[in-house]
Amino acid sequence: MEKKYDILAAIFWIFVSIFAIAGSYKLKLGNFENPGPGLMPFLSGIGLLSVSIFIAGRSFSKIQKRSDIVKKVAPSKVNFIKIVVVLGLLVAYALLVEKLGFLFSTLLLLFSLFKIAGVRKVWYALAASVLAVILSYLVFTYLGIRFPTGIFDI
Amino acid sequence: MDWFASILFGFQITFQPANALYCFIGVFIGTLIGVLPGIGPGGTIAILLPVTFGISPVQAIILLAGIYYGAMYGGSTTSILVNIPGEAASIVTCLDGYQMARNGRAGPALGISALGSFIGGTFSIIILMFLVYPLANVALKFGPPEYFSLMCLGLTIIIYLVKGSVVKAVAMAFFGLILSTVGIDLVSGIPRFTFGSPVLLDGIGIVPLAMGFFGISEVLTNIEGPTERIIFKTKVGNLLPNREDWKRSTGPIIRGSLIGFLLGVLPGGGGVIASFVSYSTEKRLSKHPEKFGKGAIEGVAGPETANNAGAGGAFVPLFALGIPPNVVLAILWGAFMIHGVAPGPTLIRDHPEIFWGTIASMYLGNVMLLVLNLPLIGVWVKILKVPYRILMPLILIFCIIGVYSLNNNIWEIIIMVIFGTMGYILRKFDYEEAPLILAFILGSMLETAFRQSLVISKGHLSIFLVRPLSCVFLMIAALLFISSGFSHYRRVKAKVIQ
Repeated sequence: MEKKYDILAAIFWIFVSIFAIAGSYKLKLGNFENPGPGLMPFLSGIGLLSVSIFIAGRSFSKIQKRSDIVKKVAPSKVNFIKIVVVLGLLVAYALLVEKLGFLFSTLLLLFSLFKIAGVRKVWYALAASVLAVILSYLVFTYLGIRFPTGIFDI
Repeated sequence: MDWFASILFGFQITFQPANALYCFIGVFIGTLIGVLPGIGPGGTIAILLPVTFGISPVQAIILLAGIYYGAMYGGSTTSILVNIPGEAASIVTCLDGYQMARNGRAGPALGISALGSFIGGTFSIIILMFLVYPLANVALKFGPPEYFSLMCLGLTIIIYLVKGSVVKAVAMAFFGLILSTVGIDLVSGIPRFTFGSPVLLDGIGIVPLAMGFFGISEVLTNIEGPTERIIFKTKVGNLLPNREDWKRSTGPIIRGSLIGFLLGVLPGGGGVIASFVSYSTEKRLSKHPEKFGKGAIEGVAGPETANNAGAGGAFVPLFALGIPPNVVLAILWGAFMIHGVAPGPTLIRDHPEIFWGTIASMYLGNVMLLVLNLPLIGVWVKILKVPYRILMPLILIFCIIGVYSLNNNIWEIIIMVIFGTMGYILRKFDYEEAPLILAFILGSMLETAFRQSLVISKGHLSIFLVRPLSCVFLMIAALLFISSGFSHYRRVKAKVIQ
């Protein structure tokens, strides 16, 4: 991604580091003779803050110098909707798997993922999902992993 | 127990039917993921880690180690036939391997790659076997300051070797260190950054973190626009290199074995760097450097030998010092810990069955890989044709099942998705995940060693400089770090990446 976006990442790091520094300060830093639980995250936070400020400064100076180039740069065409849908499906799966059970919820998830991934024929996506669910269930159950059965008790 | 009796003991363990089967499964999966671009050995080990809970620690380590060195073999197939490296250590094989395939010499390219890998892999196991024991004895004399400095050196080398910006790698390493402090502090018993959630009391698990960064973010990147894999239509035919091929490859294979092993042992090393250094060495030594990049067999034999020797060499710091030298072995380190086994100088004494069993399994695994990669090459070529639209959902399901089965906790899936999203976004900003993962793994050990050192020295930071070994480690780390800022270093690095 272009340098101009580095500033966004740097701002994120600055927030993370300030959070770590403040949090570790509350945990008690102790001293070098008797280091407390907050010392390590505090030092790491200080390190991250320093690096973030450097990245921000470098990014800002490059934007200033190359403003003409930056204007021409368009973000690359990325199918963000697909990515958001996949992430949404994963979160929904996590929240529903214990209620619906492994077999049913995994079948639903797999079918949706096959369709999103570009499998056109419904029967093909369905057959692949059923096969994958059954195989994974058998293999992992054999290996001693217990899956939630859900309201359908299967 | 002498060497001979020990290795015999190792073979007794390895040749138990169940252990040999797990060795085969490991190298088979390793070759498979090496062949398939999109998921590397690190992600696969993380995904399969929970699967190993039902088996004994020795079987688990044999299986997971097999995935690591097996991937080094498989990676060359895609490099040669598709011009896409199956994993990072095979990037350089694309240069001459693919050109050999275009010139109708795919068979000898695949053959020398598999045979070189076998020789390099076997060489590294033999040296590994003889080196770990004395090194472990030395490591027993290490105190917390030496461990702290050695871990700092390992982190610095990882940062030094990143493809992109060193500053960004440093940021990732600090972030990894912060993440490693989440959970109950073992010294004071105080929860840190848990937000009152019981899920975080034990800290963030390596499995959701690694699966998020390697599995989920990789899938998300591929969803953007899966790369079209065009398999070069050529007759693979005779896989055995001819006399001339052997004549030209013998030197590169010998040098590749040495370079690979030495670079594999170094913290931060492993197959990737070894393959690059081997390639540049062969090009420099060659009487016809102009042939490199146009199908020179030396450009396949050297790097492929080196990356396998590097994979074996990387086990030295893990087994002898308990310090993972690269990201994949960092995840393997996590596997050791989950199975209640501490890798390090006491491993040979406390768990000889795991140490010698794993070493012997590597011999067996290398033989299996040779069989898998030569006569069965046609199978792997067919697997290459599996479209990503079929692979993507399966990788995601494996990630989910893997994470859930750790503790039967849905929040671990959420944590994995969060890190997956973060990994994807950070990739967009050219941040590499390797420094974060290694810092995360080393974080708790680093903190313990740091705090113990300060207590021993009554608060004097000079303890890290007055102890000779610790001072040497820190000096090397400082030199590497400073040199990474020089323009010459950046030019060389850019050249290597190109």
